[in-house]
Amino acid sequence: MFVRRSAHCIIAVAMWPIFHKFGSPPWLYAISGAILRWMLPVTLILLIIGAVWGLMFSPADFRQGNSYRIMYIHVPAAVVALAGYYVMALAGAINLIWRMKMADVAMKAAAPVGAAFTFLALFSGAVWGKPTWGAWWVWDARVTSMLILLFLYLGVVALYEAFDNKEAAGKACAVLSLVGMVNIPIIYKSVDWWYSLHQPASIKLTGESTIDASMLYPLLLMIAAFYALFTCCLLLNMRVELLRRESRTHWVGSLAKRECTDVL
Amino acid sequence: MYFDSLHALLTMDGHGVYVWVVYLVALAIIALLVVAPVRRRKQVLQQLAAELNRVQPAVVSPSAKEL
Repeated sequence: MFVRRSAHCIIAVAMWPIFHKFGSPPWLYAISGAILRWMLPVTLILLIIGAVWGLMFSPADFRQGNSYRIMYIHVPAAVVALAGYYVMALAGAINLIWRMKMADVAMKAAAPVGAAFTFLALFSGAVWGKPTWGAWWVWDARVTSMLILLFLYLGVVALYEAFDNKEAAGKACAVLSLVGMVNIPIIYKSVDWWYSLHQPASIKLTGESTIDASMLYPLLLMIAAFYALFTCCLLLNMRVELLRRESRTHWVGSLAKRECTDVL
Repeated sequence: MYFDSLHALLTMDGHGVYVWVVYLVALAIIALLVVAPVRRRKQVLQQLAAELNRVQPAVVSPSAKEL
């Protein structure tokens, strides 16, 4: 017992500088800038490679023909839309429990990005549905639960703006995103629980995937690229929010003076 | 390449319109997601710089300009 407790103490002491740093806006601003400098170009290159591969080099589907190429946008967008919701809700929870201001910044930054990815998943799904199902839109369980996800993201954005007191706004949005978590397993399981036009997952972590390697590799590349893109957008939005909140501090003032000598 | 010609790539046996619309919309959304925060960041800093200059006009020394 004693050993375990002292081990906890050692971990806490060792981790403290990291927590402390994450709570420090200038450090977060600097490190995110350094990460973005290489991550953003790498992401864009991955997206271009994945798109060209999916559009031009992977074979056509034997049943759907070429319309299936929408998958290389649709699936990554949907996957990251769900992953983004975890990020948003987790950041909200951290803000609620530990009052960590930087978690609030992350939550606010994640919401519009998640909304954009969810919209892209719904839009690409609708366009894919027309030649495949014969309809732009069906009130299918998977489609409807994704629409609710979009409203949850937009709800967080709107709710944050509705409050003048931003601390209260952060708490309210955190509660909303945590309550909205019930939607996530519904989205995952919707294709199994209800009779659905939407096909079940083709990529499985356990067991045989029902997708050929010639289509799987570009798809995995696009999923990785979309994850990286989400991270980049999250960091970009967090940096703007950091500058806004810290605009009265010395480090932001000197940054403004240094970067905007043309205005002066 | 999977397609024989540029024309085949664009039409994709009748599915071209659907596929290309999705890719173009994706491109537009991605561009907006990246460009919007970059521009807002610049705006915030410029506004602040102008504000600070009103309160306390900067003496732009030669050494400061080099930075």
